Amino acid sequence: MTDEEIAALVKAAGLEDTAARYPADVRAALAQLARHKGQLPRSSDPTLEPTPAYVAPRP
Amino acid sequence: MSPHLLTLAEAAALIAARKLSPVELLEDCLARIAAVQPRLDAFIRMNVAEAEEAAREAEAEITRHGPRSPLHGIPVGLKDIIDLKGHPTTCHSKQRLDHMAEADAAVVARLRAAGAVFPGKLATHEFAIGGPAFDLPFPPARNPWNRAHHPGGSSSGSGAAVAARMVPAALGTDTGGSVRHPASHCGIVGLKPTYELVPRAGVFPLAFSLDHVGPLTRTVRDAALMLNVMADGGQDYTRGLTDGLRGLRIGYVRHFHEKDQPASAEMAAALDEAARLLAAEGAIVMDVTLPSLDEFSAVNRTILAAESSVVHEEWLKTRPQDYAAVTRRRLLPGLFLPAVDYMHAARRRTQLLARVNEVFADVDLLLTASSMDEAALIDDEPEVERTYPRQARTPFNVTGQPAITLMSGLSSKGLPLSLQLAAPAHAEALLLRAAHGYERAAPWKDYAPPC
Repeated sequence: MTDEEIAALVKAAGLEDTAARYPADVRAALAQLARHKGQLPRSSDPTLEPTPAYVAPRP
Repeated sequence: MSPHLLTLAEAAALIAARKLSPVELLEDCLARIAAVQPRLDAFIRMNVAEAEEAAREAEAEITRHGPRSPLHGIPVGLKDIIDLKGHPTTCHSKQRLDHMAEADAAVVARLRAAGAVFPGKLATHEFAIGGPAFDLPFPPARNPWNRAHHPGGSSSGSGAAVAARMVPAALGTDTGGSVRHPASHCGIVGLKPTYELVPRAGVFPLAFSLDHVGPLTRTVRDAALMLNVMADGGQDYTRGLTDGLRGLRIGYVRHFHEKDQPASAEMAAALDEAARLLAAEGAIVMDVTLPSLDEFSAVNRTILAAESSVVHEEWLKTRPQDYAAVTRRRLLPGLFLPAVDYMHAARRRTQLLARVNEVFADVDLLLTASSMDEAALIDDEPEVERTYPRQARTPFNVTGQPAITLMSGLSSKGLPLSLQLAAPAHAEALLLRAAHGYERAAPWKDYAPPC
């Protein structure tokens, strides 16, 4: 990821001050997201909806 | 026997028989805390005067009318993300040093109404996510089996305090395994109930759809006694506890620790031995297959990142210096996470829950690993980072189903090994019955840390 791309993402997230103070942490956060992105299962079923665990019915 | 060595059930029986006073029990626990706290740092704030007053009131009431419940006069430790009226809930963080709780958390109010007393607030990973860390206002809790090792987290003080016999029971919270992880590393019992069975009001959130409140105790019976008070519904979870394992169908999820995240040889052997013991006690143990741990972990990680980001966004922008470095690093990804990823994770959660429920059509319970490794050295940051995600607890935060961890052995280094049992939603009674059956058949409940 280029410095320009990182700067754009930081601006979009409103984290300019934090990134200025902790640039390594911001880079690590973005690298972690990129690393994990491929591990998240992505369904192509347009009808699939979230069903949070907390709707599990009581017996 | 010194009162601090008693389990909750043993102490409750003696209190009910007027053979032990709540004051005597509390004072002995306070003496134990004073003796081992300098080595373990389990507590970050004591509440001695108020606890002593509550114990005296309990003693007077019990003398006149008998105990309100088995928890009457029992000291219970509180993870410091849980509100106790009139005390700060610091979340082990500089961000919250000036906080003051105006009311008890709902679960604390239930425990207080049942007569429990609260001797202090317990160490946690910062905001239940950042730790172990040495750049916080309070030191991290240590493992009573060997203080050079991590006690697990994030309910680290809760695990250390119960294992070290400082208190008979404690509360923790569990978003990705944070009750069951310290229970596993400290050789005690950690119960994550069904989502929303125990109210979360007054508990500082990490990720609202994954957060659970649960007890850490030395025995399964003690966990049932705690749940009786903590849970909605007024059920008696001690009923049927001794019914045994005969006929229970237990699905053994081997691929979690054999293929998905290969466990240490000692952990794997202890799990196989536990499966053998469950079968010897009459359970029908069969191998079952669930989606891979990597899928559960990815879904849990994504949902946790998204939901925690709304809690911490303002502080991450305005006071990033008031987090430990590890907390900042773990929370920042959430602010960059695309909304579409959160929705993919939430949609996959539907499918994961459906698949686990399909398996529960064929079995009553699941047997899995909890941790894949014994506790790492607490100051070995690379090893802590390597081993922290090597676990099989997140599946049941994703599904919201109840799960319990127990000790399953001792490693060659003298550190606890562990197992996990899980059940369908709201089947805590069955889960506790099976856990009690294992606990009774195995020798580990009598093992205590050397501290």
